[in-house]
Amino acid sequence: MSKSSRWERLEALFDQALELPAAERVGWVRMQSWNDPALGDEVLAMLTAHDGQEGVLDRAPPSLLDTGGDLTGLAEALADKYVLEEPLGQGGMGSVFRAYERKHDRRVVIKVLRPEVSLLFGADRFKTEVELAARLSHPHILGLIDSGDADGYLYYVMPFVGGETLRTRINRLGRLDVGEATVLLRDLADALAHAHAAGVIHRDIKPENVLCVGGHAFLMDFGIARLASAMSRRTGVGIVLGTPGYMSPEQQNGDAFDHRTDIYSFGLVAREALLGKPDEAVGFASRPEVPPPLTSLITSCLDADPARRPSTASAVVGALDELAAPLVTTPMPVLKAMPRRWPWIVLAILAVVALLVVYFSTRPGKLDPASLAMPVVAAPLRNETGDSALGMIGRLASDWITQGLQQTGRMVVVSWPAAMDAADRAAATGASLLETLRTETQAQTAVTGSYFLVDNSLRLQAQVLDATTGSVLGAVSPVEVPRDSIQRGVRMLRDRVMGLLAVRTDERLRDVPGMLERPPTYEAYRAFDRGIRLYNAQDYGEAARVLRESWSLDTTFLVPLVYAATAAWNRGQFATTDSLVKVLRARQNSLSEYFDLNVAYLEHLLAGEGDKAYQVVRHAATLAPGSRAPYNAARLALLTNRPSEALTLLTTMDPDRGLMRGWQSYWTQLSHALHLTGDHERELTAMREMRRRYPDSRVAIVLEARALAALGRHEALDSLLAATEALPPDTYWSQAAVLVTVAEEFAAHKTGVPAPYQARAIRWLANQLAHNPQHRAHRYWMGSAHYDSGRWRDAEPYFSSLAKEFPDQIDFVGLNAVIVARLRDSTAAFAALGAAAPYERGTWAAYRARILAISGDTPQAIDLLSSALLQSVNGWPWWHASALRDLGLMAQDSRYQRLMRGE
Amino acid sequence: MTPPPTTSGEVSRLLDQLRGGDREALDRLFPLVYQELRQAADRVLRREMKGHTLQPTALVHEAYLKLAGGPIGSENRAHFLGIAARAMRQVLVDHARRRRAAKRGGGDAAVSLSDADGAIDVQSDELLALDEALNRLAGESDRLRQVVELRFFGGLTEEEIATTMGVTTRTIQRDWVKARAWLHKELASGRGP
Repeated sequence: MSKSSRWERLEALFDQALELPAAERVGWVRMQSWNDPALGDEVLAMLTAHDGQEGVLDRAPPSLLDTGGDLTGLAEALADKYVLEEPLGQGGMGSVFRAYERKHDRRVVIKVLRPEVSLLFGADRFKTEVELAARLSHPHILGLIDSGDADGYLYYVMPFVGGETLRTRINRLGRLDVGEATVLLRDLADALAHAHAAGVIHRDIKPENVLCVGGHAFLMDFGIARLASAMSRRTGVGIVLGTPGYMSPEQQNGDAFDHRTDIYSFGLVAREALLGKPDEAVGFASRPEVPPPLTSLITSCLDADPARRPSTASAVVGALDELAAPLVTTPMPVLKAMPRRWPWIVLAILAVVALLVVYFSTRPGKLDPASLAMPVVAAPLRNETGDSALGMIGRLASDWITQGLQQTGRMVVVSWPAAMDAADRAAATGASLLETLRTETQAQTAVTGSYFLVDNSLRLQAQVLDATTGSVLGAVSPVEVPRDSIQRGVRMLRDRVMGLLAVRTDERLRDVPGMLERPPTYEAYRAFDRGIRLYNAQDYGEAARVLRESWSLDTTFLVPLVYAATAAWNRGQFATTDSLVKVLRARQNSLSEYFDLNVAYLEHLLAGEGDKAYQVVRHAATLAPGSRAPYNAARLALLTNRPSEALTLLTTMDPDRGLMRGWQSYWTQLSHALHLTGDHERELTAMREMRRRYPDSRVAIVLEARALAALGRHEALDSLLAATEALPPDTYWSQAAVLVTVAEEFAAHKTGVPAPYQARAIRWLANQLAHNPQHRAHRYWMGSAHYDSGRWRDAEPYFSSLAKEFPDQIDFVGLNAVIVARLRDSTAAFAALGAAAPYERGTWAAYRARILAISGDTPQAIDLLSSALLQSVNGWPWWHASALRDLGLMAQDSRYQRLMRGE
Repeated sequence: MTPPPTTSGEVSRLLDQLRGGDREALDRLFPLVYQELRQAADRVLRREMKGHTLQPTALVHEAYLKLAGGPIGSENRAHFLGIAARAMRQVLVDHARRRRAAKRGGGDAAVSLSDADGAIDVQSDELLALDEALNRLAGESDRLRQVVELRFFGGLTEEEIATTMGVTTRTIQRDWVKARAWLHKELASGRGP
């Protein structure tokens, strides 16, 4: 065979093989080349290369800069702010360096665009895009710290978090563990959901743009892909942006596209992470341990038709949550059990989930479809006035109530004409109204009522019935108006019916005793709903304001006031709590027993009677197991040194149901309970779950770090600490908070050396305080870091100034007093501590105990601490470590040891 | 800045001759383009053109604007870019060779190596390996060699390549897929000197 004809055969075999389905190619080529196996080998090697990873031809040719230029100019131009340390790699767009940021004393990553790319982007355009991306702040987005133009090079700066790209990890491991991949993918989908909500599409999601640090993933390079594609269009000069292999079909074809292009690319990345290859031909069949719902989710992301992909990244997050969380108890039986046709079913479910997300995110509360059978019909009210001239009122009321129920957006409502038709038919045939409504309109629930005259007033009443059994599901209090104010009366009645049904369909309130007996007006309910949402988001200030407004809209509705009082307590506004509790006490007889106990609980707290408050709230918890009372009981158990009781309470609660759903603090208390009972493995598992559920939560990072420190897991700890460097510094639970906490835990559990962490915290804080010397939290952590290191004099200025500026904060005053005890004596320290408000007496007494421990009076210190704990000590779950310097002085005392074991 | 070594008129004339089938025109045109690209590259390396375009494909387009000057037919443009792509390949390969010589042939004081050099040497080696594989490909199919040069070194679009070579875009797409697979296979097998 001549050379040229051999090559022609090679070309032909390769071309034809590519036309075949991937699975058939090898067999076909072998068969075609049976008489020339070497030729077959060569074609197969080409096919492998064709499907394989990107190679030299997929990148831009090496820039001339790289083959000879040096970066002295760049380094000089950046020298004011950054010191270039080490090149990390080369991409299609430019070079990546690790660098040191002088101002914040930290490592950063600087990406420098190739000069020709810089030139084509233009500094202005670059700035616009980069700033857009910089607005994104999310724990799984590697945001931008800085950007600019140095010596003609455009550059941008990201936090240095270590780790490796997903590309490197896949290359290293071949493919990812299914569980690990699920968590990483969840991080990515979550990052995307955040970006999409902010109107930013990434456009260039690929393993190279995903940074893996420990078990978590960060998405980077937002805004850059957009610049590059805009530039290519404008100039016709192609900049090779990695492989086009990760683009959605619509993006590749240059069609219009939206955020779903990212969902497609996400699907490709997900498949590659799990299968190790980007190749479509490598099916999920090759890895049977990937759970079918996951393969199905990924397959749906990869649908060529964007409309058939999950419509939002949030829906993907939700679906991944279902997979990742064995703790989630909400059953999705269809997902778990369907053997075959389920890709379609999952798609349908995803679509519905997405719809629900979109729909209900704009609606109050959460719908509990099981609580009220749909549809609901509002029948005309029966005219019992004896005056046929008033006959229209019943029909008017039906119309208005129908409209009102539709407005709530929470239920399926039979249209008014259909309701009228059924009512007329019942009147004509003499059949039962309820039964006719049910058969004619399929209604499962009916609002019925009547109106009559009392002297010169019109009285309207209504109730909600089960349309099948006729049993009363709830009634609203009657409305009475002057005869000439009929419309106002009908409006009021409508409002009450709406309030009743809204409460009835709100799963958060179903478990709250008393709500259904005395439903609020709909206006009041709406304000209440807003208030509760703020409360659940722990925005207690705004919650208290809105809840009081709710009460003012319907002063018979006292529940919001109980919440407002609790919100005020949570904010430390004890005087406000006190006055709200007094208002509630004046109306005591109109509160249900459950809320009455809640008020008593607040009263005991205000009086500093932690022990009694605990008994009361435990009682409330047994009355209403689905309410927040068990949580409050657990919290108080922790503050009164009963960690095992707290643990029992918390583990019997379901964090996925009712009021605990979305209640982040549940996990904080769980962390304390597990930590104080010494079950650090479970503690760690729980905190990882908390972080998975609340990726935005800063305290979750601190709590995970605390568990890791107690276990002495130094490597995982460092990975976590690296992740904190990516987060904005300006918060209470800052990087320093993590470092100080870790050091304290090391000291308390003897699992590590605290000093380096303290030193790191101090260095970081010094930098922050140099720019923002008044930052309260930074000063607090600085004082703590010094105190924990035994440097009383260094800690003193921080605590004394905080105590002076915030004399109402018992912890600042207390810490200052402890410092005085260290530097002077106990008499001066007690003077510095001063007197305490009644509701802070426990915490105050605990600080006195610390002072006594410092002065060596162990027996009295332990007596005082024991009685302080009966009253409750704020922050007690942290004290075994944060107050170790002082309380640890009594470590040899057996009474102290028993106390600290929670006995 | 060094004035252009030739006038745009001369280039246009040579391109016309080339289109007319005059192979000698190619021999005269190639050195002109190579020289221009080489000088541009040297200016870049001496950092006389701070912030100027450095990417090879961009340089090719720039050289075209400069040498071909005023409007010329699209066919001539395609031919020119074809030549320029080939010249660019040569410029890059020469650079990589010099660089490798400087680094391995001793004289460590001659080149001050920055920290970034590790990654860059990999690129130089990659480029030289590609150049050699491309020569082997030319031995099998000169058409595929040309497609790779135009696309990779010239930064031409598939449509432009199709115009240059007088075939359909679909053919170019197929050729590229094939050439890419073959070259990556060659590079992966580590064959060659």
